[in-house]
Amino acid sequence: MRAVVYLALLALALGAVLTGELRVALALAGTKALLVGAEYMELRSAARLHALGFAALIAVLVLVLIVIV
Amino acid sequence: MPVRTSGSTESSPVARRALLDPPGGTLMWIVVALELGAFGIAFVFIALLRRSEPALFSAGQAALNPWMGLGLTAALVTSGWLAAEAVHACRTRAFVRARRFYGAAIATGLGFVVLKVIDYVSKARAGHGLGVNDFWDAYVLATGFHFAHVLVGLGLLASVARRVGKTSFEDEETAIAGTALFWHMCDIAWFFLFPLFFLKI
Repeated sequence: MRAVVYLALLALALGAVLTGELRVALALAGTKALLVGAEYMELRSAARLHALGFAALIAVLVLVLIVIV
Repeated sequence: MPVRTSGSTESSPVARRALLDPPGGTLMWIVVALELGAFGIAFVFIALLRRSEPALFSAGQAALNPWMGLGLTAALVTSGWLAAEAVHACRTRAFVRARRFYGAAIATGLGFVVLKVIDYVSKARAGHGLGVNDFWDAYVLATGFHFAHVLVGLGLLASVARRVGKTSFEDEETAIAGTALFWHMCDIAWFFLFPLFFLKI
């Protein structure tokens, strides 16, 4: 699963460059952050409140940035 | 630190942990939350600058290469994956394997450092740097703040890699999973710096 996430992260980073659209790239950045959080930071096994708090923080950050730009 | 008992090769921690017993330790999660908060404020300022001074931002971006940004991302992401594999190897007590993963994670992390130094030197030679304008102030300060975290993260990984399987840690969870947590925080911060600076207006 960790290797799959790694390949997904590379693909999403490439996708961000190829689209060249900042709002899409920020959404992809949020997706990458959630993948890293879930798999590499082991939030899949953390308390639900902890995992949901992290996801909410990333979602708010992405939304704020998308609204600003 | 929970140790897997089955022969599965799936991710190491299988049981859901208590709120006050997070993977990587509570202290490191507090550090990560504070750091991500600080980075988040920086991202908002960069986004505001992008919106308020599009011509200045666009002129500054002309000196940045998105493919260089992608290379920096690839180096960090690769290092993050290898660090996660090292933590998993430690959790399964495969310390020789863990040390190999730590070595590879540090090497690819150093790849990021080399690429970033090349980036800073080339920009400085072209006359871009602090005090030139708002774009270069934001670029140098924000990526420099991130670069400092990368150096700290590499130091933490190296200090753990040197000891893992050889000497015991007072708090193994924080030492092993916590240092990797800090390293992944550097990944996440870069995920946002990359599009904000490198994707053209």
